[in-house]
Amino acid sequence: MPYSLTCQTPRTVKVRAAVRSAARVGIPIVIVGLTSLGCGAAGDAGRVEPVYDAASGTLQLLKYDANGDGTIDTWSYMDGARVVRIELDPDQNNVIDRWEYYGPDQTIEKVGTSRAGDNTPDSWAFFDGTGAITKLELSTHRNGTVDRVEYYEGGARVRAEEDTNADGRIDKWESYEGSRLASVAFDTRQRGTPDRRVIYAQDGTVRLEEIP
Amino acid sequence: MLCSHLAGSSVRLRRFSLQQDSAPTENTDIEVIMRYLAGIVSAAVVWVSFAPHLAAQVLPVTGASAMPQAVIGTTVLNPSQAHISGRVVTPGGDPIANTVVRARNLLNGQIGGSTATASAGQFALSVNPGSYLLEVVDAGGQIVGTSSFISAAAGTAITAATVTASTGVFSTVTTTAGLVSMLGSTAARSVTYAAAAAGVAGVVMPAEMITASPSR
Repeated sequence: MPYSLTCQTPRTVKVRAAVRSAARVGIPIVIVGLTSLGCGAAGDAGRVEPVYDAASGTLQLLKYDANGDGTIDTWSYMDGARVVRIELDPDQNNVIDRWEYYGPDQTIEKVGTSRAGDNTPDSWAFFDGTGAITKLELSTHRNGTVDRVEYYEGGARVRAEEDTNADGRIDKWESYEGSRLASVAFDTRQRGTPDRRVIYAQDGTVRLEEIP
Repeated sequence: MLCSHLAGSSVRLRRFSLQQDSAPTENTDIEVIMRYLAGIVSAAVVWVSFAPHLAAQVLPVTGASAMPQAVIGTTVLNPSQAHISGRVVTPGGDPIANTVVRARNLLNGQIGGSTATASAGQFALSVNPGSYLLEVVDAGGQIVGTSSFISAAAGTAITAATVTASTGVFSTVTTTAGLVSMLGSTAARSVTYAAAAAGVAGVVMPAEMITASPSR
């Protein structure tokens, strides 16, 4: 346990239970900010609602009123001390707008969105250390199965792969130059690699390539 | 029917031969012949009219004549062509009206058919049999969406070819740009900070939020 602080609050029993529970499974507990903000600062205390597992005392969910208007708009799903996923509804229309997924090192792994805005995530963006998007996974059938992956460099899409017939294998490849579609290739023989490519030149001409 | 006519004609002709031996008049013979010829012609016409229907009912159809005849609504398609229909939508599933959809032949690179989408994003076009790629083209002539590989056989109707226009012209890139801009203030940071401030146990702050050295 590299660093910890404790604070006497009405939740002392639950807190201690949660800490003991987390310690038993080897989760490092780090609670900071208490000193600087004061223990259980009234402004935040009313805006955060923890949910603990009744049996183990493990923290499962943090409900948070991010904008302080009295309505919960952020749900942070926890595995004890670890943030697993956070769902946000900033416009408070009861539809989640953004899903954040966190890795074991507590850095954000991907951000999900619902392209149809219907509470079902169907696209997941991945970012590099600078915050630039590197990959976008899409479930075009909106069934949770990723069937299209777009790759980005410098914020621009450079290529994409797609499983168009839902057989679990990539059968369509796209490449981009800037915002322009540069080529589309297909695996029409179901061998796992492209066998036919359409190349779009910048001058508008089109060339076909048969790939042996 | 034809057989009975022919048989009848044969019988009458035989009778005519016999009558000829017994000195028939020339005019009567010609009239009889003409009458029987007319009967044969009539029978042939009737046979030609009904034979295909009868054959279709009793004979298996093979080869080119087995070509299926697709029907879309009340329109019977040209059996020598293929019919491709579908919708063009945004990444969010909203229809895109009045945008060009064209079918590019994957054997010769030529445009095999082109049309514009209707109000609900739907389109339909007829093409010669072959392999095609549908291209969605915006007002500036840029391809903003492509379909999967389509193999269109003669006389067939291919439906549900939904093409998603997926470039920045519509909404995808705008969405991802929004995500990038939001990444600097992840929810974990605000939630865990507030949770810690509220005295909630078991909260790990994001690394960049740790303000004290672990060695202290």
